Amino acid sequence: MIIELQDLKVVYGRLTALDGITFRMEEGATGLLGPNGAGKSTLIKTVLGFLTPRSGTAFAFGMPTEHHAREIRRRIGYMPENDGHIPGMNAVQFTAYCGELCGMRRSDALQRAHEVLYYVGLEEARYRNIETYSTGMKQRIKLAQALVHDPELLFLDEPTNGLDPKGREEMLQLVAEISSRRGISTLLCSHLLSDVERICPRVAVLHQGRIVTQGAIEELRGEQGDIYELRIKGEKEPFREELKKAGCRELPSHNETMRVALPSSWGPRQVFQAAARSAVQIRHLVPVRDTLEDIFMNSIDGGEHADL
Amino acid sequence: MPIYDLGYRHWKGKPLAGERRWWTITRAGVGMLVRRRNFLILLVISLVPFIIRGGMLYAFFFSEQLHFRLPPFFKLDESFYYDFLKWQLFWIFVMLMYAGSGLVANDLRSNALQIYFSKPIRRIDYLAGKLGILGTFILAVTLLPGWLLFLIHMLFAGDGQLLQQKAWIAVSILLFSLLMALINGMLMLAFSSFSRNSRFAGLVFFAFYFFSESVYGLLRVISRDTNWAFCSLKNNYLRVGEAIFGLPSSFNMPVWPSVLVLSVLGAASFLVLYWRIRPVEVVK
Repeated sequence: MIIELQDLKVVYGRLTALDGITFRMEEGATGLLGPNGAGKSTLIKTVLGFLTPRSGTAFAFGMPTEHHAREIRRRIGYMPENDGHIPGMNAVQFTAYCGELCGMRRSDALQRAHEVLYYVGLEEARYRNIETYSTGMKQRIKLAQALVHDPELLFLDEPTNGLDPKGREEMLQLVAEISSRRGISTLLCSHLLSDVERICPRVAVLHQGRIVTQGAIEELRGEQGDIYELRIKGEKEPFREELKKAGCRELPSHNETMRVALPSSWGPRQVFQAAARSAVQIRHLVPVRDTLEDIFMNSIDGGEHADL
Repeated sequence: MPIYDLGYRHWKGKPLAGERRWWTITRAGVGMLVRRRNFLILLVISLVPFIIRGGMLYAFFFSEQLHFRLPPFFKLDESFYYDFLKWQLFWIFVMLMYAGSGLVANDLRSNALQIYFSKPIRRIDYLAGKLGILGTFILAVTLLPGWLLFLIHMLFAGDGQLLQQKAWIAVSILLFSLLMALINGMLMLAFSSFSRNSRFAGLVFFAFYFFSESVYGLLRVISRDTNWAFCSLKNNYLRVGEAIFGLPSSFNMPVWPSVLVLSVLGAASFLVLYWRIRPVEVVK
């Protein structure tokens, strides 16, 4: 187990940032999702050893985070969301310097800096001052500094922010390769759910300081049951009541189309029968595959909108 | 011929222990500054007083060969070294303005703190590393030339007994240089941490220095007494320096107010730095 949080509570003064969360991160890639203020940053700070839990336990690599913060940070690579560099350094100097700060010998750090810069695609620009880099190059140098000491776990905070489509595609390929073929576990925080869905087989959704959903995306899709998108003509409320009685769940939808998760005993036939009973016409009925966005929206809005 | 994978390769080395991370920061900072030509020129100019004093030593010991007489007020005792360090205060000030004002401000501007603190370093490593940069240059223009002058003095004198009698001067040079490096360095770092703009930080430091001098000047004129010297940052250094070298005071004031003021400034600077540099903000 890479990260293990058990009933973790972290507070800032009167504000409870993490409220009794239990989270286990296995090897591989995991997406950490949540709206702004959900507690993602607090979770990362706690794992990095900057915050002391009020109650519960936080372990990384089997070590308590509050007592082994430096050892844990040595084994973690962190790619921040905001641009950050050491003024006056070129990419080689900067990356080697980051390696030295992680405890590498100077000669090792320098050699490793060249390797990593080549790997992230900055080999041609490695002697240029970082301040002259484009947004895409800055994202790559942030990844390089996170990788230079060969971490066991990578925290990637919005790695595709500000990238053009080609740059985004290249960055996602890099991250996917690192997490799937290079044996470096990855915790990916992103608001771009399609990026997370592409890289991570598992996700955890944080909302108001609690983990509201976690697990393998495939399993989470299965939990929703068979989902159908449908449009009806007539009064919606009686139809909704009919579906609710049968144990169907309405999922959040952005337009007039309804999205409904059916119980295992139900199929399209039962939907038509329910429509007939409530005197509405079904104009559109297609099975849909639940996306990560559905899982996310359902998780954070679940209590308010999901149930019929 | 083997074909190597140019993709990602794992690092097989063993990381070093964490006790010397501050030294990595110091070494990198010193390296970056000495690569600047303007700073090197400043460093060389600041050593001109050392060359002049070295010449004075030579003239003192070899005046007969040179057919040259030093003025009668010239004394080759502890005041010779104290005066040298006293005049180096100006160069320390210039060097702090040039090299120190951006040490933390530039890191704040470029979000470098999140890079530093996502690595296995502590706040104290960061502060010690930055202080080490300033300390290196301050000691390079005070301790190093001071000790060299002392060595030249002893070599020219060629008297083993004199070395034994005057060895305490070398210790005084060390103490006075360390005091100036520590307090000035902490003060400059604290001012640098107040802003993301290094020029502004330098300006505030200059204003503080100038203001303290002005306050002392005004009070001295009004009271016609030098017992207000503790209001001036520079005079506090000089008063403590006089005590370290065992010289009679040029101010009508005991040494303890100066020690107190410098201690308070040092402690306040440390607290400001501890408050401004917060590793917890590594994740925003």
